[in-house]
Amino acid sequence: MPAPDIELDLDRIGILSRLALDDEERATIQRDLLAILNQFSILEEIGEDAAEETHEVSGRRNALREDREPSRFEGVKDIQGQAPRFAAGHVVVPKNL
Amino acid sequence: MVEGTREWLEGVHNGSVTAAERVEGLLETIKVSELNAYITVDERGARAAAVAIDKTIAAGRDPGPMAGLGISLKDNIAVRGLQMTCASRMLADYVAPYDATVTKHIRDAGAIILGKANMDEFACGSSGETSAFGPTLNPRDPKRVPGGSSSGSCASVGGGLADLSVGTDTGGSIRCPAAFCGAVGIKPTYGLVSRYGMSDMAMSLEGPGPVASDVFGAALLLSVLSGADPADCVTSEPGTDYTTAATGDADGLRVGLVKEFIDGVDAPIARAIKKAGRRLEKAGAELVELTIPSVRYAVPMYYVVMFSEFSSAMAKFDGFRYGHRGDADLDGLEVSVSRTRSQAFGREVKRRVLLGTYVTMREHRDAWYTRALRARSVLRQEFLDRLEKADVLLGATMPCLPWKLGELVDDPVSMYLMDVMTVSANLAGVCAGTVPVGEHKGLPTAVQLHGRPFDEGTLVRAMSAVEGGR
Repeated sequence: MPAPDIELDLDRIGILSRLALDDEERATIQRDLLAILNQFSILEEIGEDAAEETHEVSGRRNALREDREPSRFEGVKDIQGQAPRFAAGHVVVPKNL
Repeated sequence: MVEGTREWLEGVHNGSVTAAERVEGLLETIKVSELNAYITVDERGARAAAVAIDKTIAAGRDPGPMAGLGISLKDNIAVRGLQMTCASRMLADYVAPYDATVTKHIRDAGAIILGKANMDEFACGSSGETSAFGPTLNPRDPKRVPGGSSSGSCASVGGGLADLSVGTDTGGSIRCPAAFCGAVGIKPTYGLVSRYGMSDMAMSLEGPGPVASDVFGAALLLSVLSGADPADCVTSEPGTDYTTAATGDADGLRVGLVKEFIDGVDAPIARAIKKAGRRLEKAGAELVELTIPSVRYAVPMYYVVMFSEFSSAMAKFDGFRYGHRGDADLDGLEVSVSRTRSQAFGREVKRRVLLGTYVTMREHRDAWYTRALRARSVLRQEFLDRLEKADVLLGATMPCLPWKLGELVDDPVSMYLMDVMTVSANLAGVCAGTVPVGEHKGLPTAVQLHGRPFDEGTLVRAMSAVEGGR
């Protein structure tokens, strides 16, 4: 089976993984990741509707979150954003029910 | 001459050797050892525990089923008051504030905790070379790898630095190093042994299990470790005494010879499988040939699932919630977190975190993660079907003998493929164990047996029959 055309956006993957890679590390990791993914592309032989997914043998399922890039820290603006808000002379307490 | 776990136990109980003498002997051996099997040795705690055991015996009270045996625990298991590093710079200064459930069971059973065993960093490795505290060496040949990731657990038992050890097994991390170090190791059924107090790597695959120098020792430790724990929601089965199954008898057992666990292995391993088959037949078992075709996909499906769960499990180590905090960074919080993680994680950990992120990203999820989860269902069903036709399945633990240190460390694909015989048990959620059969040029050869979920008794029985022919 021909190797699939795998593209790695290492910048984005690094940001989502919260990892900062230096140039030397990037080159090695890029090479390793592509070699591993190419080797594992044999999984394509398994049909997409082969069976139900098994997340865990006890039947529990994993919850997946959305890809979220870290928000930028904006210094004073962010810190001020944490300060309590006031309305009609009172501190506004967030509703938690 | 004292030889096995049973004899040491009897010696402590009948007074021919005291727990204090046994522990002193082990601590002395640890002190002169160059295997790098331990990250932390708790001499003071071990001596105090030994004195307490001897007092209990002298007073005529029951000291527990493992009284006087010295035990090491993999350094990803919490022992109150001792460092728990996971062999990573990230947790180099972390001291566990509580005991894991398995640690409590061990203390209650009278075993003496000698220290924390070296391992691959965060259990990432099949060779014992990725520890931030240096590689563990193979007790049979220090120029060769001990296997991983429970490298120190198995080297400590194989090298005579502990009577027993607790390792963890996510895709072969007990069985691989046990096979390479000449020890017996069991990966219990998922849900038999509590994971509470164990640092998670891939939560749907892993769990603690026993390492010992013989099947009786592994069965004894498994009996102590197993049982339902309210702190771990996947445990439900009660523990039982597995030592009664270590009889050496296999009368009436049907043993499946699995083509995929035999074809392509190196000649010394193939000979070991044949020898084990003959021993089982001699002990009364019947051999049947079987095939499990989806084992062909086991390595990629395992690694895709494991990468995904691992990258999620590692997210908490950011230097703020958990772990080493790097230099203060004026560029902001997120830059500081990324820099901290990059400084404190080793290369293999970073590789797995990045791959886990890639295969679960929205645009890649269906092609990789979801597909692997579907393949896992097929593999599990094939295993359960075959275990209807046979009571246990026989094949190789590792496809080769231990390789030389450094030989595969820069070749992750080849390293991952070494796990081809072990990962299926974790994906399918069945139990499996490895037992030594002999040796080739001074290196141990071993075979693996798989058993039905929660049927560790039959697994121990078959392992004991293989061992009995030694």
